[in-house]
Amino acid sequence: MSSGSPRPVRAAVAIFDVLTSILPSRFRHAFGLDIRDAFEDEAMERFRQGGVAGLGAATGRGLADVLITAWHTRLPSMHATTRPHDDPQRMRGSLMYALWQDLRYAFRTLRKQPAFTLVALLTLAVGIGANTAIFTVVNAALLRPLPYPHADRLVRIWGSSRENPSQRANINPLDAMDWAREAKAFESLAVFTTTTQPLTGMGDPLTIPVAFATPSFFETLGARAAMGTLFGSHHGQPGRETEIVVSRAFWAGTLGGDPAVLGRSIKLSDIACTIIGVLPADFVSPGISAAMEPQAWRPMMIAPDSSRGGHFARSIARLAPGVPVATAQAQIDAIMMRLAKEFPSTNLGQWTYIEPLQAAIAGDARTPLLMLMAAVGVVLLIGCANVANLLLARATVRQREIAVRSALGAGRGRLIRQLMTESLVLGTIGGLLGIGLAIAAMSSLPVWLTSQVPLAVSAAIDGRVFAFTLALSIATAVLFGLVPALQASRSDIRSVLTSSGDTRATGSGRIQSLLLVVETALALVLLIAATLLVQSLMRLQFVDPGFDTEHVLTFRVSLPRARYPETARRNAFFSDLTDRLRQLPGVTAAGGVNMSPLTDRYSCDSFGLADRPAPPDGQEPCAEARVATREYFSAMGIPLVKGRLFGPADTASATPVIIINETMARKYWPDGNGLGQRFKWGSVTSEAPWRTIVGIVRDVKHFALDVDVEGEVYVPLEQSGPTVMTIAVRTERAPQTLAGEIRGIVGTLDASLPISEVFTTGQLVQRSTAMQTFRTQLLTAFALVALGLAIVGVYGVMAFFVAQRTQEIGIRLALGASPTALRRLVVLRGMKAAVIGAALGLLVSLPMSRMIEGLLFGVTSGDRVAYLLGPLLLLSTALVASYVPARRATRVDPVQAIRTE
Amino acid sequence: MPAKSRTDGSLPLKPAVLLLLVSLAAGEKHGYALRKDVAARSGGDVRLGPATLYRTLAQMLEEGTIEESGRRPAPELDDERRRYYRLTDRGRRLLDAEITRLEQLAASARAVILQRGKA
Repeated sequence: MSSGSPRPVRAAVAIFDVLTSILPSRFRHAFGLDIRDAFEDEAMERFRQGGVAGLGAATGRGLADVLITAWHTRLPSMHATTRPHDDPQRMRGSLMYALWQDLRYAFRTLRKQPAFTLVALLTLAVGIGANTAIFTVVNAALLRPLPYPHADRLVRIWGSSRENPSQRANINPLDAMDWAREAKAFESLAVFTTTTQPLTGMGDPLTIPVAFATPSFFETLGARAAMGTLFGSHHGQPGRETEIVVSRAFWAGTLGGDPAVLGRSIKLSDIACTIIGVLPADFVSPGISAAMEPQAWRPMMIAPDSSRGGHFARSIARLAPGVPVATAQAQIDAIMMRLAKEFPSTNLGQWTYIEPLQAAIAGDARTPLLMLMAAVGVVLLIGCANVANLLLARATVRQREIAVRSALGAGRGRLIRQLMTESLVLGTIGGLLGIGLAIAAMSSLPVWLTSQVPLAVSAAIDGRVFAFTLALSIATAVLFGLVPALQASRSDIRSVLTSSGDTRATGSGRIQSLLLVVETALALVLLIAATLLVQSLMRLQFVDPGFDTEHVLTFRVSLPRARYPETARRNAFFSDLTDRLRQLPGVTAAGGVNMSPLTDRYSCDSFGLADRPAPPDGQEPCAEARVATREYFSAMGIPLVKGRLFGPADTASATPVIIINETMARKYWPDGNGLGQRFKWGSVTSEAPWRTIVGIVRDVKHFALDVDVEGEVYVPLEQSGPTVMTIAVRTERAPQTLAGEIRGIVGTLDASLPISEVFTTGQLVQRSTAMQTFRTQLLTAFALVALGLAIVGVYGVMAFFVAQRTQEIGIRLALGASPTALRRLVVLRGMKAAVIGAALGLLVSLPMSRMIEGLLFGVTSGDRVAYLLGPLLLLSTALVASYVPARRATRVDPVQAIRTE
Repeated sequence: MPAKSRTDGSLPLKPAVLLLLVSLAAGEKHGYALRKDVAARSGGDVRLGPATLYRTLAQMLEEGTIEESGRRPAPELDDERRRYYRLTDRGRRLLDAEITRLEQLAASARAVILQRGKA
């Protein structure tokens, strides 16, 4: 039958045959052929039905079946080993018994050499532990399916432009409603926005993250309520705006786990909202950072007559089964083209970019995570090389034992199996310790991780991580154990037994040198990458954010529109607040802005200029729009470059004015005569008033320290009417000490008003570079561990080299060799490996560091400093590591050395 | 329980063993046919892997509930490597006992449900 089977089936049967050899021989003799035939029949059938995939599945099942059967049939002989008098004949022959014997022997030898075992285990535990920890995060952020049913069909729809189609920006809700209606590729599509709102009427006022979502939001994700209901289609109708869904955490915490929570009313932004449902505990919002995870969800109303000009919402969608992303993209593209014709003033140039939700959520965290994964992998490889070197050294010492065992009839395969069992025991224990270390490391998830890496909150050691670590441990054991085992089992019985006890190995010295070359090369690659990142971070820290980072405390206040409906009341509140803050002892200035730098809030609004022709409709330039109080600039320490700041004369009824930043001035008036020019929001023909430029201020890094400054326009508070302001208070005292007094003042003005985001400007800067800082610290730590391991490797091998040649060195010294020459001999041997390794590392580093180019700031991937510093550090430490054993070599007392015979 | 004493405490049977006994009660079969038959009878729920099948058969042979059949089909219809199995008397008794046990269980379960329905 088998000759007529197709090749894949024959291959599967061959694999199956190999595995069946683990079945007990009695059982195999009786049924082996039947089992094989049955498998072949099954394999043929599956192959005909399901092709190679079907065959693969059938083979997997067949192998698992054999393993289970082996377990069941072998079990009695396992028990037998504990009662050897039962049936010694049967027991000795069984593979299980041999394995048991190997294991016991392995444990015994490992226990007999505690120093070796400890060093090897420690190396492996740290290596495997670090890999497990990083993999746990990679698993949560990149690999594990999102916690939604059929998550592979979920996509994020980004707003973008025709010039830059793969941009990731927000979208307009009305556009999205058109996609939902017309694009058949989507089963369901939803729009949502996030914000923070004051929660009042429940003790101290507090600000909570709130999301607004269209009725189809939860349905799109496939979420179900833990209690009550979620939004239904009727939530798009007016009259349902105040029905809300709350998160499980909010219910359990703020609402005290109230079992009768459904129908209860809470006040958000002074509006009474009725709770209709509670989300399950495992619900995670798509693409919202853990810190901003909404506590309450409110229905989002989209007025059909609202503008298509604002891009402030996010959109997610579920593809219909079997529809690829490209089809959906094509359908939306067609809709966007139609909209651009229909509404040129708002939609011309607008485009979208559809991305699988998982990739959209992982976003920028992907590259650094993969870089760290590669780095810990390298650390483990170096660790493996070290353990392999230790094993090689040990095998040389054990040559006699091995020769005796083979003289007594142990075959080479048997010896290799014994040695590999020891490696596997080391690998497995190292892996278990590593998992322990990883659990310890993950138990207190670093803040940067949860705030910077999406979904990292849910990082946990699950089955996949466990399987990864197990596979890693076994692979590690094979990696460090196989070569030494092959080497050791090759020993020539006669030469070893007749030799005088000189246990020098012949071939293993070369393998040791090769391993040294590899580990120094790998360590150098990490050192260079770390140097590049450290340089980037240093340059980043020297970037001037454009404001004072020493003496300023900022906080956010949001006025509920329900209680502060008129602009005048809101503005009065803010000026009252800043006036009172200024009177605090030690405070020199207090001012506010509606969008503070480095807080991820921005808004690019289109504008027109009086001194040049109007661009075609929909192609107006845009500038970052801010609303600022008079003292904002002095409070933040943003210097005036030209003209004047806002003054008491800039009232609501006075001539409308603006202040612009230097970038804006340079961009539109390179000749420096921006002052006095006239400017208007929207297009030049809009009804907005003309505003006169009265001042130019220094640039501020608004988005991030490593992102270029955009043109920025400040409007005075009195001529605008924001509901939210970030207030900056400049003080001569330590800024943090102001927080209590500030809360008191806000409380006296309005007892039910919370303040939030209380940070010094220094903290704002730190937070904005948290991700860069931590990935740099982590990579540097890994690079140093790698260097340390490589150096320990060099030292270990050289020390062993010297120890083995004690006698030879003694004789040479006795015969008059100069100690210097002997030292040089040893050092050169160590340095040769290190220099070759460094050269190799340099070669590998060039293409490798190009892969992290996107993470660098202010340095190129080929930076000379990194390529000089790395090798210098490596070679100088390697020199020390080989000099120490070299010196010991020349301290040998010749008489003593020769006598050790 | 009378059923228990008759069968030395080997009841209830494992689903696979029960299905193999039922299949052999319908006529002697070789291993591969048994596998197919078991899968069909269980509506595809019980799929015995090749090794598991023969391990179970080996156990049943040892316990004496089945035996190898000496009778073989005409040589031209038969792959001579294949061994045929049939039920022993002991196996038939065991199957009867298990069926009785299952019937009693089903009857008492139905009675409970009917009573609750009326109340």
